[in-house]
Amino acid sequence: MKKLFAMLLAVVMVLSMAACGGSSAPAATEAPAATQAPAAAPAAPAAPAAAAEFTGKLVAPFAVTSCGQSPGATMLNVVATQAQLTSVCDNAMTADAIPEGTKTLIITMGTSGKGMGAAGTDVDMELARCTELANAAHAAGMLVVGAHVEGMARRTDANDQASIDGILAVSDAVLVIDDSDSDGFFTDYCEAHSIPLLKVPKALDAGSVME
Amino acid sequence: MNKKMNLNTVKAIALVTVVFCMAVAGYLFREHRTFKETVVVSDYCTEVKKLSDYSTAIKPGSVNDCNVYIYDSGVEGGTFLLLGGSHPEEPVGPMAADLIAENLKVTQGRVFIITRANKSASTITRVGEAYPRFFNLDTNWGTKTWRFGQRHAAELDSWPDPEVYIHYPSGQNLANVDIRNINRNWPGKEDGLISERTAFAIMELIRNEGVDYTLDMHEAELEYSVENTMVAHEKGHDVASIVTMTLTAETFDVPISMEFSPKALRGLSHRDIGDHSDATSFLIEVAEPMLDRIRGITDEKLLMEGKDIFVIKAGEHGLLYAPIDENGWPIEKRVARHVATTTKLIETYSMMHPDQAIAIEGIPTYNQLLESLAPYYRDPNTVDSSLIYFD
Repeated sequence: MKKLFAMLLAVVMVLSMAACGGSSAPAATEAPAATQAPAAAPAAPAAPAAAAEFTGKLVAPFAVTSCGQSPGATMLNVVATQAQLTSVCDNAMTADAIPEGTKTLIITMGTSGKGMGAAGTDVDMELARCTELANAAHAAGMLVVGAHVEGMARRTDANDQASIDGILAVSDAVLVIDDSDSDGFFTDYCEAHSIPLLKVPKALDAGSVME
Repeated sequence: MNKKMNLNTVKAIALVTVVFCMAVAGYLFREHRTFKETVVVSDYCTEVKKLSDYSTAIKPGSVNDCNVYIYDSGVEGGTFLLLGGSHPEEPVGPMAADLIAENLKVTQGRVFIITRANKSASTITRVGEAYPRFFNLDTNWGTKTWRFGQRHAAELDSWPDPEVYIHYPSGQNLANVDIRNINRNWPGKEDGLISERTAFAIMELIRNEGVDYTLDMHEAELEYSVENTMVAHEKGHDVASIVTMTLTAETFDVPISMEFSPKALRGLSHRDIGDHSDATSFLIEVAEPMLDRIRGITDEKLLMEGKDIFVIKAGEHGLLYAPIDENGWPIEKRVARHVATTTKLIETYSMMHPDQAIAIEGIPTYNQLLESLAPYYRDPNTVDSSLIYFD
């Protein structure tokens, strides 16, 4: 009797895992982009409007931008191009300027005071731009990936946290390096919100999760 | 009568004391200002010019007429300029530039090195901060000594400061003392004050020698947010990305980050060298606890060991932008980071711009320098005198 019960439990567990995996399938008829959670509401993010299927790797062509004008986007763009993948980086990218054919929109999190000052922007404007960008990407069936690849140096102040919270709320998957997740913040968030987490040791290793 | 005698005695003692103090201060000041640092160039240094060779903005033999060490392989390739000593209160700049000058062999392209970009600023320390005048490194052949200085050229060479410093040519208003700060003076002004003229002369070197890229070496307090980083002009974002990611992945225990050079803040090397020449400009920073405002005793020990209990305490409370523990930021680690970054920059730039490739040899590795800096400074007593230069 005990064996039968254990087998039944195992079957239930396997079925529940399959159900989790299925939830990341594209759902073009889900709520429209405009209904997504506001950027600064990380505790209860809305599900992305039309998440593309996540296959375990980030699929090129990429469009890469930074929410906070830090160099993370440039770094990932360089990694992608070094891996012979098509990638366009524009830290001022707007919704109507996503290159045609893009399959994955990568938005890097964390801010640079120098960068935002130079670009004449601030974290609120960055969040508004990137949220709109993510909504447009979802509507076009792209995968939206929030990335944090500059380590704890980009997790030092309220601007960094606002950027992180806002982008996590619109991400279908998250890419981080070990240092960025040294306190388990991204692991905990992704587990709590059932978002796939791609973790690589260093930024230079990000090419291993791109194809 | 007795009372008058006593008063005269007091006056005489006061006068003698003041004269004595002035004499001692004057002697110390003169010793600092006239001290010559020794650079024993490597056997592969092909020429040493003076900055005045490039522009009449600097008079021959004047205080900022620094040496320009040239390493020309004779093989076609790129040209790189390394700047140390922009801020002489950041000792790693001249130490790293000096170490590279003493070991470098270039087999393709050309490398130019300036170890004292604002020599006047190295002849005086910051008033009221009780900084040491010199710092020393013990080697197996004796002691190697450098001048310790401050961010600004000495008032003796640049006086008076204007009420407001208006940066040329942007017209941006900056703090008045920054007219003596070479890293607020780029691209320089031919008829300006000494730091502006020095920056102009270096720009002339860059333009006339066809320099492809430059690196300016600095240190920063741990309370400052731009720390352990490489700042890059937009012409060099891709190169800086690779350099910083590679060093972080393969070499450094504390990551080196990257920053974009802001377009709105003028006078900085990473901005205005790139804007006013064909060269791509980079700047690097490493943590220096001696520069933190919250530091305790400010002496040569702190400079060399990079350990301060108050800075460490601030780190424990999460108040700093760079990590620090009981090991501090010793001089070996700081110099090693700048030397390794220079090497990696040359390697990466050459890879991404094959038409401007530079190939170098002879520079010790990061781990070798962590172990000890001493073996990599040459003994001036055992080399041909033609290899010895003073700055």
